[in-house]
Amino acid sequence: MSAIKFETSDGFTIQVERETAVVSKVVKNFLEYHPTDKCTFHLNCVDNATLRKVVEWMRHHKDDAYIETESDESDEERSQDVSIEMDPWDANFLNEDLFFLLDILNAANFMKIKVLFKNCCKKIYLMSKGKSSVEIKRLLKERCDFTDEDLQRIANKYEWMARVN
Amino acid sequence: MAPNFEDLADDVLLNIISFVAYKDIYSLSLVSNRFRTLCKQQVKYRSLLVDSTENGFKLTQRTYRRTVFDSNEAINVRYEKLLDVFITHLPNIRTLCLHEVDGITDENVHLIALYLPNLSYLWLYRLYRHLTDKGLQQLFPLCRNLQKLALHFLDINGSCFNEIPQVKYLSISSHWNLDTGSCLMLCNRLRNSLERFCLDNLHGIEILKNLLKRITNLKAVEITIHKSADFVPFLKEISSNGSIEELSLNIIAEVNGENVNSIAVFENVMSVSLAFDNRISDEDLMRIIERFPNVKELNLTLTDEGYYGSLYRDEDPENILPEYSRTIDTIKHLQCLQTLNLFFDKCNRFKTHVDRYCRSIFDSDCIQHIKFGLLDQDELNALLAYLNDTLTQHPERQLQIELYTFAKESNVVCDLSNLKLKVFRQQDKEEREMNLYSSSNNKY
Repeated sequence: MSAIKFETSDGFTIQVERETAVVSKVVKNFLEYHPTDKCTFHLNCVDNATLRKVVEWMRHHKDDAYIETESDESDEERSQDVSIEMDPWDANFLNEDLFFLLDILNAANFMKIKVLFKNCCKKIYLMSKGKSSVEIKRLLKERCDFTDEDLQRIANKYEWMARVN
Repeated sequence: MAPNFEDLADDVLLNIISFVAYKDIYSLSLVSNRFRTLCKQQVKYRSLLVDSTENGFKLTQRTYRRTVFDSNEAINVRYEKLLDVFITHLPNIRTLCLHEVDGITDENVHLIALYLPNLSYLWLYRLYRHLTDKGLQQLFPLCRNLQKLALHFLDINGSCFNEIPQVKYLSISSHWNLDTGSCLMLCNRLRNSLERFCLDNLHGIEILKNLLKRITNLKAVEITIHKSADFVPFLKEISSNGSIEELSLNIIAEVNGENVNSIAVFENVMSVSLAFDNRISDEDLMRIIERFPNVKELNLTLTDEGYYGSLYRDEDPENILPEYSRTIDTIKHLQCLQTLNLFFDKCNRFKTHVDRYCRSIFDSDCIQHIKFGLLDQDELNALLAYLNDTLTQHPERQLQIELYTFAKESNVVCDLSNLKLKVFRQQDKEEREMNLYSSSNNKY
């Protein structure tokens, strides 16, 4: 049986079955143009812990029909896919702290695993959902570069967004 | 080194922001300059639902299961403010739904099209006191890029149809009766463009007849049937049009299969969805399904009692839903069927014993995708045990199964390589109805 190897940024190597590896669009596209049984992908920005998590996700989803059929969608489709619903298995699987989620997000983005990427996005949003700007700042450790006047001006300008049922 | 948000690329952040509700975008904009700029950039491409009702969105979603709108796209502003928002923040909106928006009138409705040149999907919903044909007649000619249009519960008689844009998708629901003149006008305008048509109208047969006869590219119809007597005539009309590939019926009236055999077989229909709001007998359902011999995808939603749940309250919970053994047998023998979605919408205290007679579905050779709901704990366990047995014995069978259950505790572990299994938890009917009405005001 053919196997694909991933080498992580911290020097570990993980061997993965071909059908799992091709969940990553990067691997899939590469193998389509360079058919081979054995090859190693160097993942410069993915560490061992993150890769293990990502591979676990890939194994679980390797037979999913939507993984097969997903393609580069048009703008129209993208604007329609806004629901924050996700597969309950994924929701549970991604119950991690924010920084690990960011690692997974970056890995999914790098390896082109769209569903995992989107679900990380949703999960990260859910952490800040319903929070005030001060709370979000604390969560993201983001530096505030607004003066009080700026804040008041922006608040007035975007006040319509805050009005929901 | 811990990763930081500052290190994320703009397009990654934009992806995260695309899931953020308007309300939270407001807070996010106040976090930092970078977030404000990105938020501003992202909202330009959003869909928008404007809704002034307190609980209306939930109800809309229930009535129209296929709405593309999600609750995180909703805001609540008056129409004057909305126009202002269009100009300053959201000029690129493609998808818009207006639901009971205060301040919209015949005189100003056309401004939507002037401010949103890219609008391709428009929903006008419950604007009785606000809009008539006069306003729409001014709006329609300005909507140059419109592809989809939904007109639900408006105070119109159809004279605006002479200006209706040439859309691919049209959905109409109303209480009024369309006169023949408006019907013909509609058909003439949409003759070469319309592909999907949805109708929810008490007197809909005339308009349907005309559309089926005159529209060349019509591929899919979705009809709500309000009267028992309508069922067979509606199906007859549709079967006479050989180009329909997708059929969806939402059956509110009680129906039986008595005269169903008089309808010609639907040779070309590949996808069928049937949702019954009343009980239907095994034999009647079987007869209806026999009309669709070449179907590839079948969605069935069966319910245990009347719409508001009071009809069979005193009956024996063991026998609320009939056993659909003959129906299941018919389904099993459908030659082309690949996807089956079988959903019993029921309260959890009613037993259905679906596990006993639905097992044979798993043995069918051609069905590959199955969605099955709503199961209680016993039914879920029984089905899982059965699946485990059969698929271990037949490793060549490949199945993708989604099971929906209201059981609170179920730890499903599945190691079979030929089975892709997902189990979802869902509220039962009673819980859902309670949630729907508990926080609503007295409007409904």
